[in-house]
Amino acid sequence: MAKLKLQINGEETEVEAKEAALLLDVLREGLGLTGTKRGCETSHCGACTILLDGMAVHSCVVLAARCEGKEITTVEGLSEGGDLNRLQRLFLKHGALQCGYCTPGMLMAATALLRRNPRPSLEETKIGLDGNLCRCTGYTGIFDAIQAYAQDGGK
Amino acid sequence: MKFQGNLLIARPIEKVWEFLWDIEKLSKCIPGCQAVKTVKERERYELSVKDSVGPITVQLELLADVKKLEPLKRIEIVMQGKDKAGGVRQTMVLALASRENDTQVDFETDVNVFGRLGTLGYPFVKKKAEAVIKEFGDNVKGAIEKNS
Amino acid sequence: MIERKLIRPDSMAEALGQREQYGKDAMPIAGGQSLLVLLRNKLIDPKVLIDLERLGELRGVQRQADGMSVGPMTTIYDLLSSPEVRAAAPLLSQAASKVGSTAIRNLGTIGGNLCHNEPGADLPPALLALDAVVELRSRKATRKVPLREFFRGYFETVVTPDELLYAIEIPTLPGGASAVYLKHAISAEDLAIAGVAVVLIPDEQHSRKAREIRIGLGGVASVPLRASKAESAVRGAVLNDVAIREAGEIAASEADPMTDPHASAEYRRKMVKVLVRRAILGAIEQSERNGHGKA
Repeated sequence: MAKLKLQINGEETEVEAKEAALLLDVLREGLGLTGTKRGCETSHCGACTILLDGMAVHSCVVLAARCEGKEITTVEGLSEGGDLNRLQRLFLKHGALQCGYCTPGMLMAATALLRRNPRPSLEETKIGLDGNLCRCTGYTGIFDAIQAYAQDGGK
Repeated sequence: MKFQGNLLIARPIEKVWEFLWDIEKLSKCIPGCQAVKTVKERERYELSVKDSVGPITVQLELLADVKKLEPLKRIEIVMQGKDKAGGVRQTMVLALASRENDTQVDFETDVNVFGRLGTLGYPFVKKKAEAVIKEFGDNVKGAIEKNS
Repeated sequence: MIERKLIRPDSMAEALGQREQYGKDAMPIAGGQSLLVLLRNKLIDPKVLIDLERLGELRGVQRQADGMSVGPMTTIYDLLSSPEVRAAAPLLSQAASKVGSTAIRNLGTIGGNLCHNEPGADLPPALLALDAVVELRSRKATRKVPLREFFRGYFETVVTPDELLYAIEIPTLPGGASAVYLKHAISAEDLAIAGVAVVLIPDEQHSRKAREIRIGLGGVASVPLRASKAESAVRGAVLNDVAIREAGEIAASEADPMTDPHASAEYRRKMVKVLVRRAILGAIEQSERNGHGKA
């Protein structure tokens, strides 16, 4: 076991975990941050997507120990003062979720995409979300929400 | 995954039949077999099999049930077991026939792999299953022909 | 139950010492995007993981006299963002863009992709067609292995338990060469059902005549391979429809694919035929667009 010092959503947290623990498990079981979901556990579905130093990563295949000294952002960190942020509100407006299970991952992947590329084309949006699977929506609502965000220059 | 094949063993059918039920000798022919236990003679056996390819190791605890037994003619077995990453279920039919002083053994086997072992490890498992079945056949033939 | 150890060397010397010390009890971890899937799902159970992340000297792209040296810890995203790679080895950029998904490309590494050697990986056929050479180091020795001799079988390479992959050397293609990587898969994140990399070095006078052609195949045998018989068959020949079709057919016969839940062996063979043909046509078109060898 080891004590990990992690920077999550702007706050420093200490948590005890096994040396080779995976970030997803530490977030959910170690810290009770259950917004990040456990899906396929084989790095395909993207339900576990979080941002590591602003990059989208699948937390089910990230060693928690490697995250010390880096910035972790989870879906819990998106809301602004307890309110949904603009991207989240656009997701609601454009029907980008039904069961909601893929949604945290989709939001994180979209956030990472928009940071790298504030005005992605539809094709670039699809590539940015190529590691996130949705069984409900057929993706169009999700792409619409992201395109809407990009069109208004992210304001 | 279905495999089939045959062996021609240069020994009479009685000797081959006898060998197949000599669990001590037979288990030595199974690649990776670490232990075998007779639960009920000619009905149920327990086996421990370990094998690896590259970084992947498989450790299976198997239960073999004899479903059908026609003396000197036919054996049908079902083997089931678990590994940390999944499970295996294998059916095997062995048919024996005399060819003068030799014995022809025809086998048909169906191997099903479940769980992550079956999905993530598929290419490894398939190649290994093929290789293991072939090696088993070669070992059995070699062991019987070396004796008596 | 003994807890798995994670050790994090700060230098190559330390890491190689640890490789020697632990041998088969330890596995090195690069990006972890493939390894941790196996670990998480209990297909592997190493007592020790040797984390290569702190070995900065293993990450980066360096221009060399006759080519490029790429560190094994260079991420796929690094490759895609590197102007050197785009200029000196655009085939590698093409293949890199097809690896996994955005998240996997962010952390996955070129070294991990090679050493993990899962059938259907994208970088190996491209690197084979580029005649890459890898440098392996142990505490006692250094050796260079042409990539064509690097892959041994499913998930197996020639790297010994005391070695680490140190560098991947990619010679620059001669001027006028064109290259195409094509991947057939059902969805974006999948491994290739068949992956084909073609490098075409055309005759100086005639863009449709192949001075040299290299065909790398992935996902269609127990190891990534070069379709050397197909290459010999069209070397020096005019790449008309007959020749291109022949190249595809011979390449398909050199494949030894498996039937698995994603595709049957026959389908994979057929895809080799189709993709080799399309890749050669693509390479010819690229060559002509670049203004090379227009008769």
